[in-house]
Amino acid sequence: MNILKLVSKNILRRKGRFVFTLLGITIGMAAFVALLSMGNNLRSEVSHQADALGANLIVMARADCPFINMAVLTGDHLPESIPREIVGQIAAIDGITGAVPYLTLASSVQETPVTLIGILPDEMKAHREWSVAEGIYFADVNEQSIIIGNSISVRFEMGVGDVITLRGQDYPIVAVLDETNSNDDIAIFMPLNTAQEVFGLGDYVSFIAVTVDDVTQTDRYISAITNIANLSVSTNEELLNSVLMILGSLEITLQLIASVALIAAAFGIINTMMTAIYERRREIGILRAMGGKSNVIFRVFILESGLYGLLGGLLGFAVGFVVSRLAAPLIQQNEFVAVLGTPDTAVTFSFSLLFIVLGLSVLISIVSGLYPAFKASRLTPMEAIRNV
Amino acid sequence: MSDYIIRTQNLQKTYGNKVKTHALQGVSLEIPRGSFSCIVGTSGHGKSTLLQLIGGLDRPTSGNVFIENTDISTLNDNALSELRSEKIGFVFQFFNLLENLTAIENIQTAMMFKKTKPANKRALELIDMVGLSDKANFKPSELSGGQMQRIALARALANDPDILLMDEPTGNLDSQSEKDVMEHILSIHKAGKTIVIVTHNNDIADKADLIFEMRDGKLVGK
Ligand SMILES: Nc1ncnc2c1ncn2[C@@H]1O[C@H](COP(=O)(O)OP(=O)(O)OP(=O)(O)O)[C@@H](O)[C@H]1O
Ligand SMILES: [Mg+2]
Repeated sequence: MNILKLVSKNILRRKGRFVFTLLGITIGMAAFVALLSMGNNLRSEVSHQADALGANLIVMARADCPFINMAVLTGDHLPESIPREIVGQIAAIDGITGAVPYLTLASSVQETPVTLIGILPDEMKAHREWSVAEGIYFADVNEQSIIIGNSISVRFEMGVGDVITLRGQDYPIVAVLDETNSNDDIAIFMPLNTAQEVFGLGDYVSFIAVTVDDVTQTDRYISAITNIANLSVSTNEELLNSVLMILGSLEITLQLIASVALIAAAFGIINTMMTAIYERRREIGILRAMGGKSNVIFRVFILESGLYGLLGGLLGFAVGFVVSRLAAPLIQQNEFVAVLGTPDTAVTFSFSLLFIVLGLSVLISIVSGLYPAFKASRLTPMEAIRNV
Repeated sequence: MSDYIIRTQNLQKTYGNKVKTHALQGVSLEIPRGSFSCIVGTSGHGKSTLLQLIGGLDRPTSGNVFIENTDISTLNDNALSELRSEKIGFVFQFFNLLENLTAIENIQTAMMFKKTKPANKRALELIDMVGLSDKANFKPSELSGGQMQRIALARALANDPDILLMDEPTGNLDSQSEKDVMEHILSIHKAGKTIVIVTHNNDIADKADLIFEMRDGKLVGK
């Protein structure tokens, strides 16, 4: 007989308690994991979209509401308000390597809202490094056709040869893009000229994505652009930060819920471990009567509590992971968060979260298990056996 | 240096905070090494309490217990635990086996606390000695009262203690098992162990070298 054997027998011979103690810890940690990882995902999703934009500067109309910036990242539509000739003027600025206009419009596919983006076919293809999965890319800037993002093709089961109806007119789909893991996957595209014509708009665009030669000279570029017209210019960090600021409040809410879940979990674990060990004071007394030193008793209970914490933490992490994956679509249905959703907005496995969860659950279990064990070991064997 | 392996001096034990029970009210006794003593007396007069104090399982309210001339109240927790595992075997009135371990594992667990661990086969020998080899893998809940008592006896002997303290070890046994257990005890005594038994049984008391009678927490005569 040794301590490990004693512990394993203790745990395994008490199947009912084993299961319920473990369940208590698992549920607590799962709630924590689910909520926390959802919050983290939102943040990484937004950063990802900002990267995917691939621009250094974004030129927009001055807006009353700064949150409108978000539309650039979320792929939502922005009002068309920048005259197209500005694009050429910006591109002509010394040190600016590219200025790509976007005209974002609201449209629908099979009665589901989808963003339609009017683009300059060649500039856009080069700028976003697109490749075509199926069909042939726009050959002409006035082409009366549509190209669709990969996820749109999957979701609506559409491909080359199908048509999309805009303002009562059918437009053929001529190509499907390869997956980009950005908002391009959930948008549909038309040449800028065609889009303006279909929607009866003047020669305006929604925003301009600008790439520059030397990012250290950003200030100079910004003043050069604002000299041309009264526009708002944001670096992509600024853009990201303004979105993250809004997200921050959402995140804080989620984190608050997560910490409440954690506290509830902690008390659940403390409660389970404490009762489990209070019930066993007699056992502690017997071990002590047979000559077990208090440090041996501690080792038995540290091991046992730690094992519960470890198993419960692992299970809780797994369950929380699955739950947050299942819940992700529900969260995405939320108006605000919905705009962030690309099809693969899901929980990302994170080792640091795993370690935090394991560490926390082991720590809480050990502390809550050791306290009653410590108290019991302060008693004489007879006092413990009598259970006073 | 006296050859009293156990001595108590004016031992007092009071239970309870609000309602006080003076279970022991000044017990002094001396037990020679290798002797066979009995503690007798009617129920509730402090026999178990006395035995537990001698075995270092509880602390006296006042007075001293000497084991081989060591005042055990001066020992710290670890030293007292060590004393229990090395020198003393205790059979409880109510067995106190570990419920979730089998009979043999109960015996092996006691062995785990001794510094020089006894060989594993000793547990088998002991369980054989008390005639329960066939029940080695039974849990206490699957054993009869008498069988539990015999496992408790085997467990008390696990670390080959010098002193064997037993609280009514034959209280739950039929006369045949009682004879068997008494034979074990007597042979253990012959091997040189010091034995102290709390008992109501006159047959056992008749065989004792010393008899201590308890009444109202005190000794009456010898
Ligand atoms: N933990 C306790 N708390 C309070 N009183 C106690 C406690 N243990 C024993 N007593 C009291 O101390 C007295 C002596 O008890 P003890 O168990 O020593 O008697 P005993 O002689 O062994 O009796 P029995 O023959 O019935 O086993 C009794 O009056 C009992 O009620
Ligand atoms: Mg008694």
